Amino acid sequence: MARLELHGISKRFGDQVAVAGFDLSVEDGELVTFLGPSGCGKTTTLRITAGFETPDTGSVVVDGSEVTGLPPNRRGMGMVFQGYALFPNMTARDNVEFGLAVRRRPPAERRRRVDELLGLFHLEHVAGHYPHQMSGGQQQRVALARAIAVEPSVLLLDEPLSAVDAKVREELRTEIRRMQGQLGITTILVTHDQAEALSISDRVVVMNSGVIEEVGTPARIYAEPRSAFTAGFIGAMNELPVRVASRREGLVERAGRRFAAPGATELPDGAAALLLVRPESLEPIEAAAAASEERPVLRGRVDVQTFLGATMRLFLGGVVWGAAAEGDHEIEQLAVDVPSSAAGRWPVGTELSVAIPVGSSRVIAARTAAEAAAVTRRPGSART
Amino acid sequence: MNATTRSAQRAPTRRRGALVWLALLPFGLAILLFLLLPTLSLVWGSFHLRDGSFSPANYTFLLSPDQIRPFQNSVLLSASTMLVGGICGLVIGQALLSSGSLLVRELGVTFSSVAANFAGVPLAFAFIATLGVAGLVTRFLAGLGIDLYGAGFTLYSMVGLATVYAYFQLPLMVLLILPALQAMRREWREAAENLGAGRWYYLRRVAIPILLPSVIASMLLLFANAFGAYATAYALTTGFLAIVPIEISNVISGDVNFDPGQGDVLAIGLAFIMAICVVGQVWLQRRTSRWMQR
Ligand SMILES: Nc1ncnc2c1ncn2[C@@H]1O[C@H](COP(=O)(O)OP(=O)(O)OP(=O)(O)O)[C@@H](O)[C@H]1O
Ligand SMILES: [Mg+2]
Repeated sequence: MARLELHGISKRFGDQVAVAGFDLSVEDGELVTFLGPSGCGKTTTLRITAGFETPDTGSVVVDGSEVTGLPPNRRGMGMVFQGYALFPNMTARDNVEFGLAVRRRPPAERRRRVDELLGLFHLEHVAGHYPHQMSGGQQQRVALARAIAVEPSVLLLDEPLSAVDAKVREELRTEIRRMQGQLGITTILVTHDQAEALSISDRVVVMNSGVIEEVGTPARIYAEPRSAFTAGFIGAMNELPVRVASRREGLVERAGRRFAAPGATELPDGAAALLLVRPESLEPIEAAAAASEERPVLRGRVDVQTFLGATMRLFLGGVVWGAAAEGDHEIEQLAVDVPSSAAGRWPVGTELSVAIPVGSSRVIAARTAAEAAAVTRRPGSART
Repeated sequence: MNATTRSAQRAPTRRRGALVWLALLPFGLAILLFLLLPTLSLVWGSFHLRDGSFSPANYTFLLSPDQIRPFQNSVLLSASTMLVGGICGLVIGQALLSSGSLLVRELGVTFSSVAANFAGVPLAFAFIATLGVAGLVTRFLAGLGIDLYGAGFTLYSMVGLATVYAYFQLPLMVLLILPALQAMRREWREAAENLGAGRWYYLRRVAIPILLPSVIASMLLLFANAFGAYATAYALTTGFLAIVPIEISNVISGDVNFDPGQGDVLAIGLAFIMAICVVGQVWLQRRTSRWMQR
C-alpha cells in the first residue's frame, strides 16, 4: 500500500516524444486509469514506473522515497502486461507461485497463498493447465493472480482486458475493481476504452500525444470535459460550432441567436468555440415551442435510429438552429437519445425539434487542427 | 433416421481418407525405394561373407579393436564439433537478435545459409588454401611469428578436420536455433524481473527450460550431420583418417581390403547412431511442443 508520485517524467525514442512533462500523484489505495488513443504514451509511462525504461527526465517516488534508479526487481511493483506474458513452461499454479518462490517463502505458506489466489480468481479447475490450454480470460486471471501474489505496493495493469471478449471484459473489470478495493492496492490501469476507464476508476488521466490532457473523477470528466480532446474522446458528444458573443454575460452566438452557455465566461469575446451537449441531455419538444436565451433549440430530420437498449439514439440530419424553418443547414449530424418506448413517435423521415436545457451544455475553445486529427485517428470512435 | 444420417456422414469421410492415402503414395514410394530397400539390402549384405556364404562373422569384425577406432573417432569428431558449433551458434544467434538491427540479422541469416551448405571439395580446398601448410593465413601468422604447424597443428588431423567441420556446424546451429530464440518474448523476462527475479533466476527457471529442448534437438542434428559427412573429410585427408564414412568407402572401393559385407556392417552401425539422434530429436521437439504450441 503506497502513495505513488511521478514528477516531470519525459521520455523520447529518437525523434519520437513518447511522454513529456508527466506529473501525477496517486493516493494510497486509489485506482487511476490512463486513458488515451494508441501511441499516446500510456505503456511508456507505465514501463517507466515499473522500471523497464529509464526516463530522460523526472523521477518516480513511492511513499516519499525515490525509486527512479532501482531495477524492476527491487521496486515491489506488480505488473500485468498487455499480452498476459505467462511463462509457457509452467502451469497456472506455478505461474502464480513464481514470485513467492523467488522470495523463498516456505512451501506450506506458498501453497496456502496460491490456493487462496486461485480461489479468489475462480481458477481452481485450471490450476494444472499450461497457458496454451487456457482461455484468454483464464490466462488474464492467472496474470492478475501472479502479480498480486507477492502483495505489491503498486499494481500496474497494461490494457489487461484488451484481449478478451466483451462479456468476459465486463466481468473481469468488475472483479478487478472488487479485488483492488478489498486489498486496497494502489493501482494504475491503462486502457483506451473509455467505458472501462469511466466504470472502474477513482480518477481518470486523459492522455494525448505524451501529455496529460486532464485529470478528474469519471463523473466530472464525463459531465464537464475541460478540453475539446477529452470531450471528443469520452462518451458520445455533440459538438456544435458557436462563437463567444459576450464573455462578461456568458453568452454565445449562432445563426443570429444568442444564448447563455456555461464556460463562455472563460473564453475571449469573438472566439471560435464548441458547444458540447450529450445526446441524452437533449429534450424533444413540440415544434411550436419558442427558443429563448436560456433554452436554445435545434431542429432536424430523423435519418437513422439505433437501438441501445433502454434508449434509442436518433441521428438527425439537415440540422438548423431555431424551431422555425429559416437558417442554413449548419450541423451535419446531431445525436439525440430518447427512451426506446417513445421512439415510435419519431420514425425515420420525421422532423424533430430538441431543446438544450439550461446547464446541460458547456462551451470550450474549438480544437486545433492537430487535436481534431488525433481524435479522428482514434479507433472505435464513439464521437458523433 | 439416426442410422441413415450417420452412414451418410461417414461415406465422404471414408472417401477423404482414401484421398489422403493416395496423396501420400509418392512419399511412401520414395521411403520404400530410398530407405527401406537399401536398409534391407544392407542387412542382407551384412550377413554375407566375401565368398557369398551366409554368416554373422561381419559383426564380430565390427567389434574388433580396428573397427572400434573409426567409431570412436567419428563420435569424438561429431561430439566436439557439435559442442563447439552448438554453443557458439547459440551465442551468435542470440547476438544477432540482440543487435536489434534487422540488417544485421538478415545478413547473419544469409551468411549462415550459405556457410551451412558449403561443404565437400570446395570447402576442403578453401581451408587448404588458407590454413594448409602453405596457406594464406598460415603464412600471414608465420609473418607475425606464430608458427601454426611448428606448434603441432595440422589441417590433416582430427583437430584440423574438426576445425573445418566447425565451419558448417556453427552456421547450421544459428539457422536451427534462431526460430526458438525468436520465440522468446521480452515480456517473459520482464515479468520475471517484475516478480523479483534476478537474471540468473530468470535463466534457470524460465529461459533455459523453454530453450533447452530446442537446443539439444538442434545439437543432435549437428551430431548426425557431422557423423555422416564424407566428402569434406575425404577431400581433405584423401581417406587416411579413420572415421566411419571413410572406412566404409575404404572397404567397398579399396583393392586390398575390398569387402562389401564389412561395409554393410559399418553402414548399419552408422545408421544406428544416426537413428538414435533423430529419434531423440523428434522426442525432444514433441516435449517442447507440449507447452509451446499456441
Ligand atoms: N522501444 C521503443 N522504441 C521506439 N519508439 C517507441 C518505443 N516504445 C514506444 N515508442 C513510441 O512511443 C510512443 C508511445 O508509445 P506507447 O507504447 O507508450 O503508446 P501506448 O499509449 O501504450 O499505445 P497503445 O494504446 O497502442 O498500447 C509511440 O509513438 C511509440 O511508437
Ligand atoms: Mg500500450
